[in-house]
Amino acid sequence: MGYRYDFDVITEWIAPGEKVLDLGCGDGSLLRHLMEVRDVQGYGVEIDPDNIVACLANGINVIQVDLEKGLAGFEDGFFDHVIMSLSLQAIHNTQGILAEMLRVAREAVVSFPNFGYWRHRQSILNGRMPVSESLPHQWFNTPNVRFFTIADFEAVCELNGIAVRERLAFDEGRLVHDEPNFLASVAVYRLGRQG
Amino acid sequence: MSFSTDWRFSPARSREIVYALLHNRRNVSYAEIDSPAGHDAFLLDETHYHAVLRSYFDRIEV
Repeated sequence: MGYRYDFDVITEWIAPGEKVLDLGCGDGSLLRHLMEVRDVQGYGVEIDPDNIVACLANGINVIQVDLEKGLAGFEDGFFDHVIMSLSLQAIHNTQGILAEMLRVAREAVVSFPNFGYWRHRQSILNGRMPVSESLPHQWFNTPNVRFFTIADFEAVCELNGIAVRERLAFDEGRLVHDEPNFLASVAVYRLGRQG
Repeated sequence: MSFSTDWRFSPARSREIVYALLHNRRNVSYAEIDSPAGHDAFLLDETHYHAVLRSYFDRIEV
C-alpha cells in the first residue's frame, strides 16, 4: 500500500521508548517506522503466514495470534499504546477486540475506512458497491466483514464506555475539518476508557 | 515456533514462553505452522516453516 498518511498521525501520538502493540501489523512497516523515530519496544500481531515472514525479514517482533479470539495471553495494562491501523473492519468481534485493546494498553489508536464517505454513498446511489483508495477491493474479494461509518463507530464507543480523546479525519490524504462523516475517507482515533 | 498438531511441544506451551519473554521486554517472535504431521513436522519440507526460519536467520547479525 505504499505511503500511509495515518502513519504520521500515529507517530505524533507515541512518546519515545513506549511499549507498543500493533494488531494486524501487515509487513511491520509502521512498527519499523516507530522503532526508528520513537525507539519503541514494539510487537506486531498477525495471522497471515506471508505477513509473518515479511515482519521477520523487516526485523520486527511478530506474534501469530487470531484476533477473533481476543488477546488472552497479554497482561492488563502492559502496553502504553495498542494500534489497529485499517484492520477493524476486517474483524467480526468488533466490541470484543475494542475492549481487549483497552485492557492491554492505556490508550488505543484505531484507524478505519469511512463507509459514509460521499464517494462511497454516490457509488451506492448509482447502484454499485464502492471501490476507492480506502476501499480498494471488490465486494467478492474484500477482506472486510464490518461496514460502518464514522458516526457508527462513535456510537459504538459511547455504548461501550470508550472515550474518544482525539479524532483526525482525512479525504484521501488531506485533513478534513467539517462534516467528516460525509467528507472523510479515513478516520484515525485516539481512544481511552471513560472515567 | 510450533506446529499445530505437535503434542510433544504443544503450541500452548510455546505461547507461554512467548508471553513470558514479551512481558519481560525481550525481543520475541512466534509463528504457529499449520501441519498435520505432529512433532515430526520439523523434519519435513513445509513451505511456511522454511520461509519463517529463513527470514529469521537472515536477520541475525554476526
